[in-house]
Amino acid sequence: MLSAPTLKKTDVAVGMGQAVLAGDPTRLTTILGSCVAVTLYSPRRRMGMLSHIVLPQSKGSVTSPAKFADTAIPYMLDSLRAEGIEPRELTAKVVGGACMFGNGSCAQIGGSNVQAAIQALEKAGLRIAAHDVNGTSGRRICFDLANGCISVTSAGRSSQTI
Amino acid sequence: MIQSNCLETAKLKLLRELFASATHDASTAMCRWTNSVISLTLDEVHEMSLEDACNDLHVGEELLTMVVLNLEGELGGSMVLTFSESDGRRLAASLLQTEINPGPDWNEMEQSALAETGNILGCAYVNALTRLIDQPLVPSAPYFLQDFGMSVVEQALVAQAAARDTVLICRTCFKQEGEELNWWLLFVPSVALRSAMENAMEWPR
Repeated sequence: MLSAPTLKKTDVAVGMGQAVLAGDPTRLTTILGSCVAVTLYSPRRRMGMLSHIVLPQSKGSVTSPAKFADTAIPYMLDSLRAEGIEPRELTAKVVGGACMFGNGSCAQIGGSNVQAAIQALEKAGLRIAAHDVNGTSGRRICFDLANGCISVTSAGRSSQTI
Repeated sequence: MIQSNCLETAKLKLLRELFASATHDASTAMCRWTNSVISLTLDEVHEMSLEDACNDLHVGEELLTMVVLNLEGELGGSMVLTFSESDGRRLAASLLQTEINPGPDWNEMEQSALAETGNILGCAYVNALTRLIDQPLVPSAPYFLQDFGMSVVEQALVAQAAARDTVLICRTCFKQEGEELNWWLLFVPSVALRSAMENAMEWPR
């Protein structure tokens, strides 16, 4: 019996402060420390978007909307709407926000990023389907646009899928 | 509000001279500590956008072995000494005069040997910075960690990115008897320390 043909997966890396919109068979990958990745996914279209958020508040900056939690979510929704995807069909996931340097000056940024991302998603009326946040280790993530699943790998911990 | 003003060429040149002098001191200290000829080369003192910094540093996606020192107090910053797994193991074995541990775990002595290496290097740079800004800097105890290099660099850079469009980084490479080692030291000052460094260099205007 012949198996169904499968499309070759293409991995696309999403850098700090960037957002990428893509569809199946793409997988979006990124590495996170104190930054937070927010993913929005449409199961109907098998399309979604990942923002690699660096800081909680834009404080008036308009040049890099994906860099800040408060501007990234509206930017993602606008981009997805332009593709004919409405917010009601999206599932949201949040990953990252580690504090890797103990009690140093940047210790709070990870937690603030998580909080700001959750607040922005709630403000937009989006339900958070899953999250893997905080902790003290970095994460490598892979967002598969075939099914919306995110595989999360951390140092010293086995991979998990959310 | 995020500032977008960049360092002038003259100030970057001064910073390069400062770090080159610190690198020389660090080289001497490393030779003494490791009992071999390890030389340090100042690879770059650059000001660039956050996105470019992450791309240009070529940290890769692998798990790396690192020693992190934070500068505590008002004038903060981070120093990250990074090794590939094999180079870190080799250095620890050489310092402890033991066989190379095949892993995967790092014992307390090995971690301590690498942490002390970070401490020695970090202090050479802290001393140079203290001379420049004429204010005390307090380095934290060094700590050992294994993680994705990019995650650690990201966290070090974020503190500056909170207030600036650009980040200032200093990177040092290492050689042992002419052969390049897979180590590097990254220094990222906090916004307050960066401002103090810039103020201390006002005179060449």
